Amino acid sequence: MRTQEAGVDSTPGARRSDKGVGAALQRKEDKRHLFGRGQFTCDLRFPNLHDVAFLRSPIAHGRIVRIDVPEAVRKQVILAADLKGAQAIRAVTDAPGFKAADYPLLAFDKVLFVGQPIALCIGRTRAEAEDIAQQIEVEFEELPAVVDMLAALEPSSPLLHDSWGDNLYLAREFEAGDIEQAREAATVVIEREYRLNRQAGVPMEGRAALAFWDERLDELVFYNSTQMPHQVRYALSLHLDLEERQIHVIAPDVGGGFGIKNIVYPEEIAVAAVARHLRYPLRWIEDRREHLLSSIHCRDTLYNVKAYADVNGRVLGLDVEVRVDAGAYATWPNGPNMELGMAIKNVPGPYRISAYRARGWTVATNKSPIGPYRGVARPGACFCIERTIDEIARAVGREPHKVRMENMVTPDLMPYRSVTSMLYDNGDYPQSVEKAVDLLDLPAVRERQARGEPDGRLIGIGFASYTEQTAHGCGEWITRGVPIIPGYESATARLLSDGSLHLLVGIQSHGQGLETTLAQVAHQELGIDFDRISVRHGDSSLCPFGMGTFASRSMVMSGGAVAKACRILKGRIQAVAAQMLQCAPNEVEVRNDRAFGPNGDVSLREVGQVAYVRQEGLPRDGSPTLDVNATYSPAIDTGVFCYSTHGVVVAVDPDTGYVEILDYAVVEDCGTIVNPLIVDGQIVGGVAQGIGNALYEEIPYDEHGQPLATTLADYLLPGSTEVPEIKIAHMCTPAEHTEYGMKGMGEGGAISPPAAIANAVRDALAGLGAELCETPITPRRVLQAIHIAENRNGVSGGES
Amino acid sequence: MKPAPFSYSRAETLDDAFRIFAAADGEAKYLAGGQTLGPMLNLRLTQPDALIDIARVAELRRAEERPSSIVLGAAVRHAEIEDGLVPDASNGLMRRTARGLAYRAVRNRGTLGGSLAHADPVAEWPNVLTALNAVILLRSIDGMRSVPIREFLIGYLTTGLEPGEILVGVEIPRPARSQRAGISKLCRKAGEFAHSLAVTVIQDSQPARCVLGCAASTPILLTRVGALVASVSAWNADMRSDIRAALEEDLREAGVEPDPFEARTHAATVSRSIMEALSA
Repeated sequence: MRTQEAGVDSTPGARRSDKGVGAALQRKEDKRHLFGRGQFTCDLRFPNLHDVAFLRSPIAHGRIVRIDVPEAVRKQVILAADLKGAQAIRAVTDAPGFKAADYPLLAFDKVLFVGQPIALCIGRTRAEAEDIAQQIEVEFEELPAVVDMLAALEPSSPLLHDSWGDNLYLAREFEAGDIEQAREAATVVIEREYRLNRQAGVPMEGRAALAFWDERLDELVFYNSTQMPHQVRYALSLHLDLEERQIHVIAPDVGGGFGIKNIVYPEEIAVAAVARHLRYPLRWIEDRREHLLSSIHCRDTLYNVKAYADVNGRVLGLDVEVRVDAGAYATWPNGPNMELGMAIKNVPGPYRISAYRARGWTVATNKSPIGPYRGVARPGACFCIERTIDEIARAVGREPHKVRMENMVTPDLMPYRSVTSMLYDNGDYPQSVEKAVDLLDLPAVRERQARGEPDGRLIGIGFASYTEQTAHGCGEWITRGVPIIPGYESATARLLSDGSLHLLVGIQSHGQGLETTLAQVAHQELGIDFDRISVRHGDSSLCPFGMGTFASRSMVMSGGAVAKACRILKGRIQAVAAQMLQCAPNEVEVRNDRAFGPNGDVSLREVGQVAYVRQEGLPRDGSPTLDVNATYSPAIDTGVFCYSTHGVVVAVDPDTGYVEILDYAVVEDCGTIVNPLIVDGQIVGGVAQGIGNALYEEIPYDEHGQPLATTLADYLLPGSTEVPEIKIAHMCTPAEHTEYGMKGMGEGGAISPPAAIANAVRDALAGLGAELCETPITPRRVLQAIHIAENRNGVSGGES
Repeated sequence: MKPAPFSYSRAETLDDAFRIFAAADGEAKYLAGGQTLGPMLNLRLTQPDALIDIARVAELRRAEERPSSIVLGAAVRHAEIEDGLVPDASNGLMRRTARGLAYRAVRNRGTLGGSLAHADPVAEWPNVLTALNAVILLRSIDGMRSVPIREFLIGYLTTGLEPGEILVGVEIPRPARSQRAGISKLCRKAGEFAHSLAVTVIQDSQPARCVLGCAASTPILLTRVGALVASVSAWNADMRSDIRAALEEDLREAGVEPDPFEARTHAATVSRSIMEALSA
């Protein structure tokens, strides 16, 4: 991995420090994880802990006629009717026309997808719980499964939710500019259908919940592998008859989330609902099969695009239809509608497009519900526009990267209001393309391509760019119609009596390294030894309320809250130190764990002593303790846009359809970088998932609604041998409206790979006239594309 | 994904294993490396009442060099073949094969005999040992018998093993020094199951043995392709179309109707295995 200059020096207000903002520090988290001493939910030990296994629906669609539970195990089996004081999940969004449907914690009348939980079975071990589940017999009256989202919209289709009258969650339309005029003016029209198939999130740690009633505190303790412990507390109070004061949610170490754990699931609420009435702790640890069956799925989107361009490849207009196969239910909190809204918003990408029409439908089918997964809709939107830009370039006979650059928003137009009303704040989009072209040495690749490979493989190069809205605030979320508006974060900065620092944050870190980067921010503000700072998160009773980690928001939002709290705390430290140093507070400088006045200095330990245990040393009007709470929202609601261009060189084997990635480059600009190691790690991890999306991961369903990839033997994930070394180059345009100029960047790595790889495969197969418009790009799909091209062109092939 | 209850016993000798099997209540299964049986138990696809662990039976861990053959015990692990810890009767083909078989973690435990007894037509050993014309050695309480591998592999996950019988080893004829071989496998990522697998073994003065896996319920011996290969002495790219035609004939005779994707990928692996063998 190659990292170029991180550019923090150019950041206004951020002074260079070896442990502050911009420092390439190893993570505080690494030690426990590398020694295998992390504490994930399944590592927790409690006396008399019992395990849960769920009996799940084996069919896609049917009525439950009868459930037979053998008398011997009846007490260990919880059916829907046994759940007391628990509500079905109802995700209601403000999106106009959105149809809601209750998602029962346990199915009782109908089942709507394979894997839907029907019974909660309790055993002393998971194996025993599965033995019990195996003894339950369920009689179904099978109904025809709704599997294909296009057929689902036919009037003759069977219905999932009878009261709806159709299978449509919601429809959306958007139009700006004159699309008819663009059509008439166009010399080039590109018409394509793109499909991103259904996949799963597959974090290293699956879902997990452990619950018990604490008699002393009269509260439910709920350990949960989640990205958002405070939202989980809120959700449990909505779905159980408990007050929030009686709910204590703890997210211990969490092994990845990617959006999958940004949902509160029926299984989790059911475990809480049952455990609160028991005298022993209950836990449910999801296994891989359950994950692939019943965790939210993602992608599964169909794009139909008509693009109009002039003779140079300048895009005049885009007319797009988007269809999202959203599965059987709306999950809490946001339901399935974000996918469509974000798809429509993001198709125009980093380009100057003046005429844009989009129509979209979110469709219910008998499959697991979909939800947010790293990139949310944008890998599809990026695929749609970036594949199309390449086709336009081919149609006008130009290098795609040139057409790409010429259509892009240029720095002189910033801030730029996109055709879908997103406010691109700053940056140099075309330069990111240019740098990616350089990193891959395009002329050398073209030369190699022309020379031909000794093994007969075909070389191709492809690029894909995006601009990603991150850390968006209240106003943006309101436009999405979501029920919870995550426009802020909060932090408590607490200097203790020995001069060490606690940061209590509402954010949750599950691989993002926030225990490190938030300490860097505190060090930046207070000059306190990095090793004397502890970041505490993931505990609804210990930490101030926060929304959690998703939407590439945490560093900007929580970093902003920490910076703000630390600055207020610094004022408090200055006030106490000023009294001790007999000077004015504004004369006190805080650095290197000390407070310096004009005539001397004191250690923060001494300041802490006074603040906590020697009240007589405080200023007359000063209050004891050094404990500050702050909330932070960025100065603009519309988000700050990180942007990136990915480039990839592939070799495609026309005999087998295999695609090998030979070279991969990422050029990105996320503004001020807090920790370059973590940023690069996020990029590489995102690209790995994007490669999975592009080449490997897929859950197909048969015509009966049976999922065909329910173990990792069938669901292929990229491993270390499938992920090449990634070349990374950074640009740095600090954001103007956030603390330090930071932008979010966590999701970005996963956005471009499907488009970039498909463009590279397209480039490789150009001579055969074949192209790939669907992910994952499996050997079978590659050979099918070649086969179709051969039949069209006669066996000799050739670009038409 | 936890197995249904079962009893577990470890056999120290083959007689031990037969005795435990005979005494077991309900369905008993032998367990060797557990790399296939383990996941099947966890998925509850199989729910035996008793497992008899034979992985450490000394008689199964042996390799024996005979004048015209080599016998590898059934509990020899893939990693031991990969690392050259057992004698080779394939001029290196088996070592090369083992190196690409699943992942090292699987190879550390998985056994030669376990793979053959499982009889998955996409697995390496049933195909490679068919190409090497191996003989399967079986023992039961009634004694020993040996069966040519093509008779042993009856169908998809189906073998000629009788109830209680144990696959104890594989006898592989010693190759002539001139024997050359090639293997070509297509799997979507390192370590995954193959979707096409071809093995070619060429020995002077005999028809070449070309075997295709993944295409039918058992490995297919491609006789026309083999005859074609025996008629040439060096690889020549122009052979591809002849190979493809011969392969089509062989597959038709085997009652296999590949779709265009399968036809293309099988043609690729067969050609590549031949190219590798002829270029060796």
